[in-house]
Amino acid sequence: MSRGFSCCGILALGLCAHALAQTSHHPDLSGVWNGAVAARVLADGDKVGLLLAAREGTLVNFERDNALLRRMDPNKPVYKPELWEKVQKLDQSGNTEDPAYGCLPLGLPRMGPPMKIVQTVEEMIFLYTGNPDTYRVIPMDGRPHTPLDQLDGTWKGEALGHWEDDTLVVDTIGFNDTSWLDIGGYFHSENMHVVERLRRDGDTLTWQATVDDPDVFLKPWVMNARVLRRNPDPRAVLEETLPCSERDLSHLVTKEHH
Amino acid sequence: MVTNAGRNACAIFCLISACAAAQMPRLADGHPDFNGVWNGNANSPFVKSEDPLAQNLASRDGQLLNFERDGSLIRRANPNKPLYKPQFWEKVQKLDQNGNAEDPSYGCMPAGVPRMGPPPKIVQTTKELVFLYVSPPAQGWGDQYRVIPTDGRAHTPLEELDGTWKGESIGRWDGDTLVIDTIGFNDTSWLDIGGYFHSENMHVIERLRREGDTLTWEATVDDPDVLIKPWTMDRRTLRLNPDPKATLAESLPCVERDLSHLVTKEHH
Repeated sequence: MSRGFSCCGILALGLCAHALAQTSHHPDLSGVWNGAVAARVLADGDKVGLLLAAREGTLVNFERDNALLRRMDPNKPVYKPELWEKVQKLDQSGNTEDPAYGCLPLGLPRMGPPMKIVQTVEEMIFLYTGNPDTYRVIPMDGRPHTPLDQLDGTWKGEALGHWEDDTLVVDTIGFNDTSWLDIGGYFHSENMHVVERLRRDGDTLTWQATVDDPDVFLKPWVMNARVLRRNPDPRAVLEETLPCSERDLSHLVTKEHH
Repeated sequence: MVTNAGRNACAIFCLISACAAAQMPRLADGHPDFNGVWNGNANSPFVKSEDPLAQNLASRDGQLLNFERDGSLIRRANPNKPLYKPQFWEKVQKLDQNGNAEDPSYGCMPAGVPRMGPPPKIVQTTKELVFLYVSPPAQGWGDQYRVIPTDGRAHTPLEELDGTWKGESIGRWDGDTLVIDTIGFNDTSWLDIGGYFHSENMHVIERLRREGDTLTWEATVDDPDVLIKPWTMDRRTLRLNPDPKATLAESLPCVERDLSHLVTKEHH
């Protein structure tokens, strides 16, 4: 093979790959999305704030107050009546029953939106920090789901992505029944089905997950949307999370999360 | 946007060009394409009968009897070891002898760089490489990732870095070899079993090279605080998974239940 021909081939390959990448007409979701953590502190005028020590940024009781605020959220999963007692019992023993209190993964959808997205034509890579640092690989090649009975139930499940116009839709099945959806004893079955929708508007990214689990829910639960801001620094990096080391659980004297 | 016909024509032309150019798949920027799942070649823990070591090992030819202990013996028989300064020999030995309690990877802690080894999956763009890892079942440090920028940035000064398990990695291309330079470690992780500790001044250089459908990974560990000379770890070669739809299996989370029941102090 002549050197000239080889170079020409490489150049052509390069140009083609470049052209294909450029012709992707989908929104660019790549980047670090960590600019907007929701404030947990109430403003002065909030009626609930009168009852909370943590109002206006004081640190007294802020963990307990924060849990109160989360529990007041009217947007809750609606369980079948025969499971209400189970949810309540799990909740009341949250410190020992919640897997996230024992260094286990949060799993989907509790892990929330990704902190960083790497986007290629074939797949989306979601990178997470927190407990623990983890990733999801989301194929975009149009493959179908593996039949549920052939999947080992996992924390992250089998995620597949596709575009609906400018919205990235991630469809996930194949879960274990160990993870929770949130504090509050919100367990689920292995038949859970999670659909996440991600949409970029300017430099914000909106993430919203819908959880369907006909074994335990009366109807699908549409979780609160979360909005992230794009980190404007092109060199922004994710911080490494400290590994989870369970030292405190045996010293907790209460059973319920606060 | 191009038409499907245009896209197909382009793809076919690419294919022909690639055949003509042969050997190395490349990205648009001309660098070798490391994208893919690289998990085709796990090292076998078993030795064969013809190996001189084997006559002493119960686990030869795939016998499971004592295979963990034998695997450890084989690793310890490897002459390629880090050379510690004489004043640390006793410390290394003591850590080794108490490996079950001292080795952080026996307590669900991360393996860290370079012990986490080569990545089973690489995602490459023109700005960065993402290394995706699954942890061995025996360790269970989870599904970790590394983001390695290749945009030419400089290292953060060491004194401004919090020491971490993975450190601060920066990549660059040396011809067709990807060179990853990492500093900014904690002094908690080990390099391997055997009490191989290191200091916060550790400096790791990994070199990755693709030849056809194999990827070769080699790491050199320099730590002038504790080592007499840099340690070049044994090279590891991975094979590209030929299935374009291959996925990584999710790591089981590490739950430390066994440590308090172990009656020996030393790894086996």
